[in-house]
Amino acid sequence: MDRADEPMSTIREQIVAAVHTALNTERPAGIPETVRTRVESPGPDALPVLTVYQGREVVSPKHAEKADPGRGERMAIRGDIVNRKVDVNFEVLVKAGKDDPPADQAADPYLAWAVRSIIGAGRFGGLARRPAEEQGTQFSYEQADFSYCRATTTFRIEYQSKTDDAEQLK
Amino acid sequence: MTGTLGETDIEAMLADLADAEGAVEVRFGSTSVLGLFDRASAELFAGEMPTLVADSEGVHVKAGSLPGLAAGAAIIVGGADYKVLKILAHGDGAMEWIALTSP
Repeated sequence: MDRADEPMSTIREQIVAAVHTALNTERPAGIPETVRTRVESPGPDALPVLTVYQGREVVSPKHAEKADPGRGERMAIRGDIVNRKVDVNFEVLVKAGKDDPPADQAADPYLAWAVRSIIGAGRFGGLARRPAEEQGTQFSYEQADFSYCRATTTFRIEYQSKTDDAEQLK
Repeated sequence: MTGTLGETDIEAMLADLADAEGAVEVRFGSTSVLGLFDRASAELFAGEMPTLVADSEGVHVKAGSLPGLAAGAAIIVGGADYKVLKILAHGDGAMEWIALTSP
């Protein structure tokens, strides 16, 4: 099959898919399946809901220096590789009822699993330059028929691709 | 007429509604009054992912009819146990809205 006929998949997409796979591999008891980029609005009966989705990506071109004989100086030229940092978010939705621990406490085991599985996945089979770096967790709270908590941990993953082809590492 | 508009008629109107099964008993401790129960969907956690859809439940009662009621108190509405989330004055102040959560 010609390359033009192959399905497109950027290195970024491959990394997010690998994160999703890591979250759903050898899950401990009590950890539900993580959904990739949720499209439904769950109700209380569906909780806990775990979701992984990509956020912002920052691209930093790499420049090399080259002598410019005409000006007697060195000049920057665009390199063949760009550095990329993509933020991958792991979201937990939980509720707490009458005899339950507080909702943020209920989220804790899932957040611990995310750190262990995502960072433990290393370089995602060589796609990333280094293991994911945990950036922080945002907790939000709501009160309705139950106490609800949303906790979102962001992981930053650094990788490279060819400047003119996001599907190619080098 | 003194006080807020229609204040003197509230209990009679709630009693009429109860006769038509449109009002429920609200019990706090040894005090029992009639109220209007309401349940509506609430979309929570707006953000990048779709919202969580929960139930927002509450009951309207005549203002001051449940002395001592405060957030966190246990309350029975229509025979079901709830906990009071908050109490808000409603309309002209003759009624109050008791937001409920599961106990």
